[in-house]
Amino acid sequence: MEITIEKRDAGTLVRVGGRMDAVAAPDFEKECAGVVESGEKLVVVDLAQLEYISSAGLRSILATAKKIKATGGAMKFSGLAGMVEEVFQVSGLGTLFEVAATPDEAF
Amino acid sequence: MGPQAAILSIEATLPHLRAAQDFVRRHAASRGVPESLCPKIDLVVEELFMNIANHAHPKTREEMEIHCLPLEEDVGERPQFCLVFKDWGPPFNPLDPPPPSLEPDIELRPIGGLGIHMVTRMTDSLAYVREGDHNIVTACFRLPGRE
Repeated sequence: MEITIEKRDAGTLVRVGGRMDAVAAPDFEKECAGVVESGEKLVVVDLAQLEYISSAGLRSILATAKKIKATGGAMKFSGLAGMVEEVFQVSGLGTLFEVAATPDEAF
Repeated sequence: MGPQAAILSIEATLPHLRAAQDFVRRHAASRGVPESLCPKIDLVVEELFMNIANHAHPKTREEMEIHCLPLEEDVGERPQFCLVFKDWGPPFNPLDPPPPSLEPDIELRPIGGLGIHMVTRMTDSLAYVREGDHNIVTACFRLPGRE
């Protein structure tokens, strides 16, 4: 799994690529925790390069979203496609979050 | 004689997850399972493998088994690819727990319980049976229709 973090004026963009499985999901949670602890109020997670996500990945996302919400911030998503989009739909996560086509639309 | 089942005996712990997925992917490909079905199969392997890793304690036998069965050609219109997961932990029927909350409020939404829900949605059939001292879960996928 590859994670890149880009600070923008409106918030922070977290791009995730590769596989977010039980092995990799804790890394996502850790990276995002750093962003939330820095005081960021808007985190956009772009999953356009993500090939695979399991329930472990969804748990990391939910745990992160709860942390952000507790500080009064928000988490949004962009770039859902293929299997990742299907998993968001089946799990109901797609209705919990604002989902945009591109990061620019999400900000 | 038809093709045999391929069997992997492996320790059900996180560091072995990707080896289990590689094994299934390799055998699915060799049986002609189309690439488009692979992410779903990968997901089901991970969820069932991690379910055993997390719940099958204590075990009467340390390793679990994954069986990739030969394609079943004579079950309806489309062939199906089936996987069997065996573990020697206490009786545990993954189909028993209630469906997870799909609560729309992030703060109220419980973390977890999604894995088996996704397995039931991604498979075409899912069955559990307790045989002697082991649990057997069989997950089947119908192949897309051949045009």
